[in-house]
Amino acid sequence: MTQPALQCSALAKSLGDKTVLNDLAFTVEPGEVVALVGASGSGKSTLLRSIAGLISPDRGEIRIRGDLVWSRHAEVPAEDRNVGLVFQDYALWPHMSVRQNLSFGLEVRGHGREEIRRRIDHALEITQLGALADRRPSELSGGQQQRVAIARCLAMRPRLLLLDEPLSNLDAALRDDLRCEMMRLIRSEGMTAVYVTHDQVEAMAVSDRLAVMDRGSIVQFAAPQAIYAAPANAFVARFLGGFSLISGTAHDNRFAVGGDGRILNHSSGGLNGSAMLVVRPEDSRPACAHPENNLTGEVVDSAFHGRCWRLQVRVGGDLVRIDWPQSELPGSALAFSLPPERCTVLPA
Amino acid sequence: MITSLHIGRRNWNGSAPLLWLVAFVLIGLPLLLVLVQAVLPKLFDPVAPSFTPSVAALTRLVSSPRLFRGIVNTILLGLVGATVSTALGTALALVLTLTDLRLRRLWLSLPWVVFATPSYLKGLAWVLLMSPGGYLVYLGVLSPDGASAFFGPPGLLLVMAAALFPVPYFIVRSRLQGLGGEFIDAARMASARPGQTIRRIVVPMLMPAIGLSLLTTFAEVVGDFGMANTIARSMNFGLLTYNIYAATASFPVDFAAAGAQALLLVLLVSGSVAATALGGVDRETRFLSGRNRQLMTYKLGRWQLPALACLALTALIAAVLPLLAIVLRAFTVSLGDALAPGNFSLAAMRSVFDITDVAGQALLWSFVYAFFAAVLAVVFSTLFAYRISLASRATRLLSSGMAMVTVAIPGIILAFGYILLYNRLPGFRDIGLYGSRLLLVIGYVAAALPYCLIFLWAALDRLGASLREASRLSGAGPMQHLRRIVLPLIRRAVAVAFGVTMVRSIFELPMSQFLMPSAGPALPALIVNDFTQDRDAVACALALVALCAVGLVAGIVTLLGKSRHLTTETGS
Repeated sequence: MTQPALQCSALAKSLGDKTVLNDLAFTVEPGEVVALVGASGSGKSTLLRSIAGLISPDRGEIRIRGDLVWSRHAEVPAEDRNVGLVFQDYALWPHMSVRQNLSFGLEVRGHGREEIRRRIDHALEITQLGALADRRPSELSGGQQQRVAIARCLAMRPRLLLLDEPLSNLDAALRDDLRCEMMRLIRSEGMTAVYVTHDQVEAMAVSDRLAVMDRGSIVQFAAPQAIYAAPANAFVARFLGGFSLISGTAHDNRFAVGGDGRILNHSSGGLNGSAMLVVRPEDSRPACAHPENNLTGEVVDSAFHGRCWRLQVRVGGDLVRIDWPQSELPGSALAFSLPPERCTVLPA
Repeated sequence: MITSLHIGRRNWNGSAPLLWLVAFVLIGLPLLLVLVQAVLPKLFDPVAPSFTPSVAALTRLVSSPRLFRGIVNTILLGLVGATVSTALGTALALVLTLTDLRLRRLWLSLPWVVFATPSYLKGLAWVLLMSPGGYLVYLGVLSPDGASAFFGPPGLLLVMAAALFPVPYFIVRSRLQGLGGEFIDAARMASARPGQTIRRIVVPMLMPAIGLSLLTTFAEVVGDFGMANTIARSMNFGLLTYNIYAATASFPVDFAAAGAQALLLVLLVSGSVAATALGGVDRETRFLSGRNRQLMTYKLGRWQLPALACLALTALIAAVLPLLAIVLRAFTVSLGDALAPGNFSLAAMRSVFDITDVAGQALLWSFVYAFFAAVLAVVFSTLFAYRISLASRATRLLSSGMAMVTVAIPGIILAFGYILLYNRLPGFRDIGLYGSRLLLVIGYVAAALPYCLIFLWAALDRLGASLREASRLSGAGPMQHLRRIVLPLIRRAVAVAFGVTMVRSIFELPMSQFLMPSAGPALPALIVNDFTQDRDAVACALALVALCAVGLVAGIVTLLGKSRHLTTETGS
């Protein structure tokens, strides 16, 4: 049977009286890219650094390719885990050329000169850095530095690649292109990767599976599409999708909007009592499209988003974001509908 | 208990018990012995040593008129000297940073020249200038009576202020440069005139730096041995540091009195360090981070000439006259004949370059001592600072706090501690190091360690933690990381620490005088001794040659640094 590339079991870590990792468990399969996403302080960087061996958890176990690398009774130091980490600031050694940055780790591990040359040439070739091999980091652009950071990891052939917000130092225009380029490299080398980010769009774009973290726990761990379609709770819905939530009451397949009384049909059966209706901005339709599932509210704001207008509409006591084909005057009333099959209801 | 799965696990946690032990023996133990001496006066009694505690030595600080006068003189001189030199340094920093004063580059070098000249050389130079048979009387600038009047507290204060203003200047200027120009721009937009802006905006924002300058200069004045052992001694103006020296060097030795005075001196100095830390005056050296606007400079207009005259007068008093006095004396036979044509001679210079002469020996050996001291101090402090940089935050804070306190402790106290340790303490006494050249080198190393550590920590602090983590993840051990990553990145700081330690050791007076090797005195001790024994021409020749040699080396190093920088830029 193939061993998981990474297995974390019952990991716990506290700093003072604050729980940073809370009995956390998850597994990453070989060749899989998992994104850890969560707000600041959710524990994602602590988890990543625990896997790298740069900090020690309080309890639990970490296994890489089946080998125990951390438990309360045994620890493999970071330098012996053969794990690659792309740092947020890249941590390129400024006094070394690109080639020297790549060769350092191979030299200290005692690889032969020919092997080092072969690995570096390969890493430089696939990252298209061959022409820049003799430059120092200060002579490279942000995107080139990021590629060097990845190439440095690739040359080491790590058992696991960790990425700590590797795009956050780049400007928005570059980010999309470099993300595609980086993921192409990672996938072409068949690497297993754990990718930390606080940007939900980036997390969904890079990962096979997504772990949404909140207060030291993984609250949902699934494919991005599955989480988008069915967020596990209100936190995931708000954090990941930028979805809006309308509070009300659920009864069988009906949802009564709080403070409004309007009844909507939804696709989440078997829920009774206080509940939240998830509204994805792109699901809004003209009122006539689903007359049985209409909502009415007061337009609060209207902002141009290129392909559509993003309206903020007050429905009952909640603010709802919807995409709309034209601008609406703030203060005007607006009726719109939601397809029943796209209406998800969560316990409050 | 955690056990490593890797047999050859590397020590990345910063523990370094051996280095701590060496640091304790070099600095902690001698200081401890000095302080203990104040309350255990019979501890090193050659006839009947005992642990009987006594406060007799401490009460003598008040009951002995001589000792009490020394304490009062020291505190008063410290307070007034700190105030005057801080005012001078602050004014100079404001003028040089905020105005379009002409000959700026020349004036910018003035504080560095004054700072680089040891205080005992400045003290000796002022004796040459102001004594009744000195140069200023010879030239008719002063009458003999006027010259005699100089040898009192006001004269000493003038010399102190002229010698110590560079420290406040550096502190205030650094704060000024961190101050965003937008504050001044905003004041101008509010219609403030230059005077109003400086008084209402700039000076209040500089108050933390001014406070730090006052405390630092106070510690400098009370702990200074160079002035106390030269010009103050000529004035018969007793100061704590000279009284400590006198208690250990005069017969019969009075270690208890020296210990009690040393304890008081430590309290005065560490009090000012603690006040600095508690007052938070050194915090937040920068008001804004990122893109601060450049400071604008005010046009002096009709004030240009008066400002230039003031600067020229300061330069004359602080640097030109003292250095000129040393140069003249080095090339003349007697002080009384001053500039008479027949008085000029190369005899003193010849004895300095004659390596069979005691002066030539002192010069040669001082460079040898300083070289080895700099090598040892820099190697040890690089290793120690690196290990500490890996340690926990608490250990790092504790270590830097200890270094800050020990860097402020006057060299004379450490030197006294070395006498107690290697001449009196059983075990250490039996090693036979006392009176050897090696002990003097060890003493120089100990004196240099605290500031070397502070300097290297500052350089290490600039390296992001992720560089270390990247090394670890590449499989490197701590020593590989030090050798391959850290040293290349902090090599400039290491080179500067080496240069500063070497220069400081060449001119280090307290250690040279307390730990004089039986083979012959080192340069600073010989300069002071020659001066007091009417061989002041040789003393000045020695000082001149040493200053020129140090200046030459510093110039070459600076040029090399610049050309290397240029090459790097061209290469890129």
